[in-house]
Amino acid sequence: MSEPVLRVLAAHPPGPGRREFLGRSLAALAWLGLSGCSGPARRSLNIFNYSNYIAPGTVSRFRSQTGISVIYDEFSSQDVLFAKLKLGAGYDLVVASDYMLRRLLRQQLLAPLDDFANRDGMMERFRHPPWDPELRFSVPYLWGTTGIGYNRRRVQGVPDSWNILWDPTYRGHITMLDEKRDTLGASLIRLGHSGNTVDRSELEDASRALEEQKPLVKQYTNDYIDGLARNEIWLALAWSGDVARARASNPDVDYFLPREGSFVFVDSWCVPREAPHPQEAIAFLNYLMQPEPLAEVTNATGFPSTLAKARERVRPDLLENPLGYPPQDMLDRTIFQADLGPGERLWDQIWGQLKFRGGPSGPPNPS
Amino acid sequence: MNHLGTGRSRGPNWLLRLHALAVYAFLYAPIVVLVVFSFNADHRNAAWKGFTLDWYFRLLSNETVHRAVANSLKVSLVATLVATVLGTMAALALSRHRFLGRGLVGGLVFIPLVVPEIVMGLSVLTFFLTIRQPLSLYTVMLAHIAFCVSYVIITVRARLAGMDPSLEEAAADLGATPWETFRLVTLPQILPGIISGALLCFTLSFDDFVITFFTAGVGANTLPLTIHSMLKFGVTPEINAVSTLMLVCTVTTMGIYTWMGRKRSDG
Repeated sequence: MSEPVLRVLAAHPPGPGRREFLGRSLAALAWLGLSGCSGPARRSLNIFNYSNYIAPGTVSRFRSQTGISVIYDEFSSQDVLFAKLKLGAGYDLVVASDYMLRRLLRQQLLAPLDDFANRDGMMERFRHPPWDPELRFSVPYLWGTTGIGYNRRRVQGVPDSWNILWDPTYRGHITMLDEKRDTLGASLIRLGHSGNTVDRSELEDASRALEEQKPLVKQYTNDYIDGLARNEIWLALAWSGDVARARASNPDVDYFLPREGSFVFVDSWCVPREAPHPQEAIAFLNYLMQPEPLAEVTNATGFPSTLAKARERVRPDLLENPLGYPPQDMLDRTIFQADLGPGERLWDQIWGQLKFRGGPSGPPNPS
Repeated sequence: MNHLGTGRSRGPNWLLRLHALAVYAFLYAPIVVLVVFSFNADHRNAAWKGFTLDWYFRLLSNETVHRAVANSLKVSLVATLVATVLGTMAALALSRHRFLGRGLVGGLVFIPLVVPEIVMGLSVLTFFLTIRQPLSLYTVMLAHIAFCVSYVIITVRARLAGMDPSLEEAAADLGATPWETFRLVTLPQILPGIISGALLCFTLSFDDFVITFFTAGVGANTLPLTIHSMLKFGVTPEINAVSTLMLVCTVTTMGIYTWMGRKRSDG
């Protein structure tokens, strides 16, 4: 309590009970305060992850094995993560998606993970990601792909190409992602260009093809799970994890990776530079990045993990299934979304023109 | 238009009821849908597939939700307690004493009510960053106290304005100390105002998202923040179930608030 307040209290002689009341309220506040934090002797760890992106028992098992107490918080989008890290929120271990990881690295917000040794068992595909080629700052965790979610009853045959999104038979039942990287990227790959090109004429080709496709498209949106589940959307440019969720309530929904190629993404653990408990963060990674705990995560979330050995313990329906572990030859045709560098401007410009020229568009999705 | 309000002619009265019904449907239909789908047996809100309480049972075993409920209760209770005490004291000072800057302070009280929440959140955040106060559950409490105090001041001042000041003078004349006057005369008179202010604080604090979002540190996710983080994979019935529980909590508090208000105006 500040001195002036005390002086005021002293000036008016307190009546019976007043001091006692004040004392009691202060004691109550102090109790609320103490119950919120643990003693200084206990080791602790603050984790920040997507919601539903870990197995239900992972944290509690780590807690009982190591005696480290864990505060586990969740976020819905990478922007929330970025905001909290910039503000120095005090997290020790966070999950970042590839483009955010790049931004965090560029801003030097991450600490090197030299003490984490277990990188050998990682699938070759994820050993040298373009943003962190030696994995000095990040540990790849769960991954997925961009492909096409479709309704097996409404779509004839077994589709295997991007061309199906340009098939007039399905007019009005097609959605595209409201993301320049995925939608323009899919159009580029379909035309035989690289999904990471920064060549103006190639990008204009891709944009023109999307312009021609517009009359068939219901919407540019990231919110298609319910539409797929309700049989309203028959074909969607989609992320594997989302389609798995639509399939859980509608078995007619399926997913494929086009033969022309597609995108793969991976979410990675990293330690912020100002993390208060970096050692505990490494201890958690050493525990989690083993076959048994990772297989549990995959079985609970449906997302495949980066550890090769974890695959042996995964539920059979996720193996050789494009929604879980796609067959190796399919995975080999996927690429990471590379840093566009100064070319990002060109992408923004062409994407902006495409969306501005009318036709299907959805509200921007924050996540 | 005059005959609309008389309630004597049948047709317009019928129309008026229909209109009222439409307005209420517009206001409450989304909430009804939310509550109904919290009992849906499907994983998504897409189609009704039968009744279940599974989502509520699932909440019972969800540690993240447990902690969020505990955090929300801690924040709202502390914010309510502190803001009510501070607000009542401020209301008494503003109504009973003349001092330099009284008009200014009286006007400033309305600022948190009219300033957009996002501006309030950002300014509190900037303040904490400037004084190098790391974010935690306590910063959330402080921010909530800051905006709650205004609501208490306003409700208590309204009550004080309707109170006869000569009662206090009479008590003092009859030899009561200032403390006794407050405890035995003023407090019982303004108590309904204090309680309504406190209930209002609790509801506002319990529901707040924006200001909490800006001020929450590690381990300080409240229920609204947790619901928001669950949205990554779209709205699942589990979110509907949490929201329904929150709704029950808020509606109960508001129910007590209006009930007290009615009792006050009856008596």
